[in-house]
Amino acid sequence: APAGAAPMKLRLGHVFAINSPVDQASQDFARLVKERTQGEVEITVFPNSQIGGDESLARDLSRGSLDLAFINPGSLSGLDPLLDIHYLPYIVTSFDEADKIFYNPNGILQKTLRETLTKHRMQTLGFFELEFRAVTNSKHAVEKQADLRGLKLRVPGSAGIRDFFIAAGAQAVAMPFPELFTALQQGTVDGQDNGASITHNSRLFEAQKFMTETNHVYAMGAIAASQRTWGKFDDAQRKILQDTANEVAANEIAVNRKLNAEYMGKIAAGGVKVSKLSPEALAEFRKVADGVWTKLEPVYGKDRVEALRKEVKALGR
Amino acid sequence: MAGWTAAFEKRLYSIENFVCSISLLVMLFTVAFGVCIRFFDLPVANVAEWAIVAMSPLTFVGSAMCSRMQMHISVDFIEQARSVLLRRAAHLVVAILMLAFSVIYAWLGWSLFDDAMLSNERMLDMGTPLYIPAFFFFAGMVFMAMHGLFDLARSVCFKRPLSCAAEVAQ
Amino acid sequence: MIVSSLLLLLVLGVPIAAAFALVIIANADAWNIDPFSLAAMPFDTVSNFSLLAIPLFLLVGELMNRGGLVRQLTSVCDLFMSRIRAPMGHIMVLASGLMGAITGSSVATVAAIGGTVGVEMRQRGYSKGYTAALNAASGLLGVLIPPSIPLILYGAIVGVSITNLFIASIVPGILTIIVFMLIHSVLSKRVLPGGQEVMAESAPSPKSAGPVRKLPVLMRALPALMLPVLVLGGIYSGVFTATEAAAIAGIYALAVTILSRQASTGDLKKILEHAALASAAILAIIAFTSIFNRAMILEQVPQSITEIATSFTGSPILFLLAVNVALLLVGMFMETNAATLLMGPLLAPAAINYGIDPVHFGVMLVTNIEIGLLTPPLAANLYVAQRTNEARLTEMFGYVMWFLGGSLIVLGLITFVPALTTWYQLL
Ligand code: NA
Ligand code: NA
Repeated sequence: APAGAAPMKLRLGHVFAINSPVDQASQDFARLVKERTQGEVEITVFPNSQIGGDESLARDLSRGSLDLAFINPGSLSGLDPLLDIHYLPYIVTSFDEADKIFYNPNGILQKTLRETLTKHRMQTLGFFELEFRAVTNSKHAVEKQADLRGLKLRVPGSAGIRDFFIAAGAQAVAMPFPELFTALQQGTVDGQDNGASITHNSRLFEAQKFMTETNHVYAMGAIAASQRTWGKFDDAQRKILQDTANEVAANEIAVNRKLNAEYMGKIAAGGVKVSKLSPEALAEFRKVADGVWTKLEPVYGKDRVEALRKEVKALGR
Repeated sequence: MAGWTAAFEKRLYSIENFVCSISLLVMLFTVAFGVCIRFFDLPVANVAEWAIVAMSPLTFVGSAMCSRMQMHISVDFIEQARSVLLRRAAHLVVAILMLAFSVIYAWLGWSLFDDAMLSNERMLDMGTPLYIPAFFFFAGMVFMAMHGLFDLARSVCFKRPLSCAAEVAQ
Repeated sequence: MIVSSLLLLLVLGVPIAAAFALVIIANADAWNIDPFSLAAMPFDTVSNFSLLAIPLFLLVGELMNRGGLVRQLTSVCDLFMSRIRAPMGHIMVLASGLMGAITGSSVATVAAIGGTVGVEMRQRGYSKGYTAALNAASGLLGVLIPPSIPLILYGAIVGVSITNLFIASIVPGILTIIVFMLIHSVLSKRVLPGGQEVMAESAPSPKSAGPVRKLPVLMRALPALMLPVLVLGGIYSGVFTATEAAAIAGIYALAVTILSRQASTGDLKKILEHAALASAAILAIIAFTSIFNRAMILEQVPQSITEIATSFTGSPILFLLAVNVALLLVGMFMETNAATLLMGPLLAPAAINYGIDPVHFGVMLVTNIEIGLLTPPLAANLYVAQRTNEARLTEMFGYVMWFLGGSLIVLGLITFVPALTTWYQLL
């Protein structure tokens, strides 16, 4: 861009709480991009769903009425069924494994998400961490598959998660998130399956007695730009945005993992009995998950599911 | 400007009324059925999604009903004015603005519908395409523009605005 | 500039939904708001499960009126409140409080109570304007009595216990009930001819109703009495959520209406038409004012107001006063849930710095923002009450001022007497 030109004023939206790791990453991103472009690109961050939930952020990016967003592609399966491929149950069960499969730029997950977002006119700049999902409920500790039988669990509208809980014997209930707290409190549903940060920050643990770190799904978010906005940058600016996105994402992942342990501690301190799965129980759940993968092959494509199976096998666990 | 317009508007209104009444019934029964699904653990997808779909026709086609019946919520300051001329002038300005509003929104509604067709975005529980509720947004605004046009014509011809509130209130 | 053109359009009588939208459309270019967003926002705003409570409760109201359930309920109330002067107004306040225990939404409360108790009040000689004003004000109880959607939002974004927020809001809720009933006692002397309600001819004379007369009235009212039992029981036993309760109540009212042969098919069509008109009028406002909300967020207007308010360094009392004023200003123009989501995280950290308990601050903030439901130009409670009671806004304003004053007194008490909310810590 010519020197002395008016700065490009861009808007960035996300649904995460103010001062959460993702929000901090987005603020860092805005600050660093401004510094590194010598003020050519100025980004204002709108956190906390102020300018819409994930679905409307994605629609706005796609149309070019929003410039940037930190989005959760897992919420976008209505836009394209491929966008929650990473919600297939039990792809990984530890941060270590997640680093190898989810943060591999040449892996099938990033490749699928990137291509699908591009198809919907969104440019992917990087991937960041959301959380491992867990199971909380007010009835009894979930230690093995049989404990899920008959539990009414609120789950998000994602085929992978819904089918997993149904296959495991639970009753998967659809319910909008804003209704969830009261529903848990009054026993309309027994439990839900968000991970430590959402369960803590949305205070869901106040209405729950048991939490199991099932790690059935590892959720990952994407830093995305509207292609309309992306087309306005020159190469130097694109490189700055791309590099900065990778930098803040890497930083966010480190911060988020530290906080995750803290949240689990706070949830336990709030009177929730926290447990982990035994290796036997984990094997049992993995077997259920495997059936779900096969069942969902027509949704995600046999070749993609096959490629993912290969990647998981290569972990050598 | 005579009989045929009144007949046309009446016909239009009865279509709108039908759409909105069905929307209300859809909301009532699908939400209630959603409770049954959860309570009895029925192997059925969450039909309450249709209740959310029905919000669009109820709001936007319903807005057209409100236009016809002059039942939009507004500040009724001017109506208290003594001067007939002032009231008529205000009615004219309002009629022009309402027509502008509904024409702009008919166009915007079309772009929303068009975009939903292109992206083929679907809702999560039943897979209802988003272009269905988006279409009712567009349609409602078109109906509203039609009522707006007739209202403007009435206003220009110095006819008394339809005061239909009494007609429905019985 | 924006505010003055908005006010001009409103005074001219442009429907509220269109006035708010037109102001933003005219400035969309300057504010860099894409035309697509102008369409997507109203659409997204009403495509919301929680909003279903509004049309459904309006439908329940229509059904209960035509189906005779309202008359049954009020006849029971007459039995037990015969000693009190102007009882229907008190019943409206109490019923709104009961409704508040069912839903977490103020507007849904106004819709449900206006369509039922409001109708009965007007038949007993209250003016439409007064009925609508009382209806709009009592609607605040929908949120002030737990459960409450804005308190859930505040708890989740600020990170404080929602359970504690609910407990802390009980005393302010009861306080509001008392204040509103007091205002009603005073105003009803003026509003009612002779200060007494006009009794419907068919109603039993309450004075002579001994225990012998009570039983048949109760028996006849059984279908109506079952309704709150069904709804409250269903919610608190976890069979359905508050939003779903609206549909269950609707099905029940529909069944009673049809089975008791109170309404023909033609009547049912009319019921649906009425409910549709009322719903659309209200939903249109919610839909189209959302773009005004969004524009304010994009232009960071509430943020600027917050900066000014929090710049009053020094005493916490000055800070709280400044916050009160700022929130009243924001409440005039913003929808309540959006305002809570925005102002909660902006203000709570400063409040905590001043040593103010975040739960106390949350109850104050939500009450403060809720008062915005009574302050034009964006005053959802007034508009819903106007519609359900067939009143004019100008007829309502004089009475609304009284209740607004009462709410401000309650707000002052909540703000400056922390013990009213912080007693939860003793539990
Ligand atoms: Na409530
Ligand atoms: Na207001």
